[in-house]
Amino acid sequence: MRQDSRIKIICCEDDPIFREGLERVFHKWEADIFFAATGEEFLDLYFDKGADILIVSLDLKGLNPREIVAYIRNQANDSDAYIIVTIPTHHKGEGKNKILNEGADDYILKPFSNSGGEVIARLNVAKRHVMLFKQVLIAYNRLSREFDTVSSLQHKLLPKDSISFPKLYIDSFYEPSGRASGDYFDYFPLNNKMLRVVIADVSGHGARAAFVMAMVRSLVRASQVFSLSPEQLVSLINKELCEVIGTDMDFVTLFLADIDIEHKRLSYVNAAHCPGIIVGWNDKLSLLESTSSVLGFFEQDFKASSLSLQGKRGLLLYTDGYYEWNIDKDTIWGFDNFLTLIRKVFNTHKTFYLELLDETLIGSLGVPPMYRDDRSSLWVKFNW
Amino acid sequence: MSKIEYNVKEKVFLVKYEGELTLEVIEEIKKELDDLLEKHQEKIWVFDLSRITFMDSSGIGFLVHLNNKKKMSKGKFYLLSPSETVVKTLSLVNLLNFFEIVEGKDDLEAEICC
Repeated sequence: MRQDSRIKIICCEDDPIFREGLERVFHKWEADIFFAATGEEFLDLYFDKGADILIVSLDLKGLNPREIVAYIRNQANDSDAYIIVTIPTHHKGEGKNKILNEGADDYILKPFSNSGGEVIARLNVAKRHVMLFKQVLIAYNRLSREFDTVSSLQHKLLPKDSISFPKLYIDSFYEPSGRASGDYFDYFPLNNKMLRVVIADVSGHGARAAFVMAMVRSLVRASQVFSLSPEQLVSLINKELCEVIGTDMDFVTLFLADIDIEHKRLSYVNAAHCPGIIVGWNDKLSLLESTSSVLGFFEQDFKASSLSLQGKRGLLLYTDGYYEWNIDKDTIWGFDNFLTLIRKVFNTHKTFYLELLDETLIGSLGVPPMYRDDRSSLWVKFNW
Repeated sequence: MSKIEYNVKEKVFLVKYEGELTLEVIEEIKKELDDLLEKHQEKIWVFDLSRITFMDSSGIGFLVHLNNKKKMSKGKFYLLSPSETVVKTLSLVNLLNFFEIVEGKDDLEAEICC
């Protein structure tokens, strides 16, 4: 659909008498009007100029008007142009119904009255329809630009580069399912011996999830300045979310960990997020299960768990988009298959990077998975 | 055609939904159920989840929303016979104990009568 305000019409009529009648009617109309005498000329004009309203004669010689309409709707994929068919009153048969079913919007019987009253009335209907479409398109484009802005801002909230931190290497992966997402991950030093890593997932998608994600990110980043333990920080996030979310449906799952490189220890809170995975050098996987419930619904106490990282290869964090997708109409691929995939990847690759998960999965499925949610992951490799 | 079935008996509003409880359907179900619940102010709401084949985070949020809404109006909210996938999902996010769950209509009647 063209967005300028002046209506453009292409009219295909090979009978000179009816064509003259149409020209007389159009004379009173504020529009750019082009005439074609044949179907070929009509299509040339359509592709050259574009049009809001197309008028095609049902008894056109040469190209079949039904094929023209079907071509515009199906091949040119133009569902916006308003198509009117002119039909001789003596016309018999199902042509009128067929062409309406195949994509025409309206029809006008000919010959027209001298005043062209009905033709004008039908054109006014078409014009209202076209103007409404233009307004919807303008509104859609405005919203689309807003979403692009949200998406662009959200990307800026995620860390771009791996940071230089002694004895640790960090790899990250992010793939939103739409333009705005509820996934969040981050990593930053608390001091020269402690790295904080976090991954979170806001329920739902779109601008709403992106807004909650930005809120969580601000609170997490504040902990870089104001010294807060994992328990204190998660408690603060939960309190703020409860105030904002109230009885709405949104909530957040979050895994937050501090990695102490001096003592080779990990301290973490898992607020109902997917289990963090500690990978051992023997490729044994240890799951860091939930230590509390989701954030944003109710008050709760948070307690951090800790464990030694001695002899461990790294920490893998991810969101549930990795495994909540359908393998077929009735079957979710699921967490158990995801764990099997991770085992396979670590068993077969001495050097791990996050894209290996997709590459290995596609290799075994033969086709890319039909992911339906945002996907984020973090891999923290221990170099000790 | 809505997949929501419901009936009202004495003080109980019982609703049943079949299929996936996910982001794709939640907005529509929420609107329909919110309207229904507005009309039916029974003290007890029961959500039959025995035929739920999959539930994502939006489904979890929806159940909590219903629960909180009913609790705020001093009513009761029960999950009836949640399917294996629902139990597993609620368990993963540590919300299994957050809800009052009844297994089967006999349990529900016993719960309600006391």
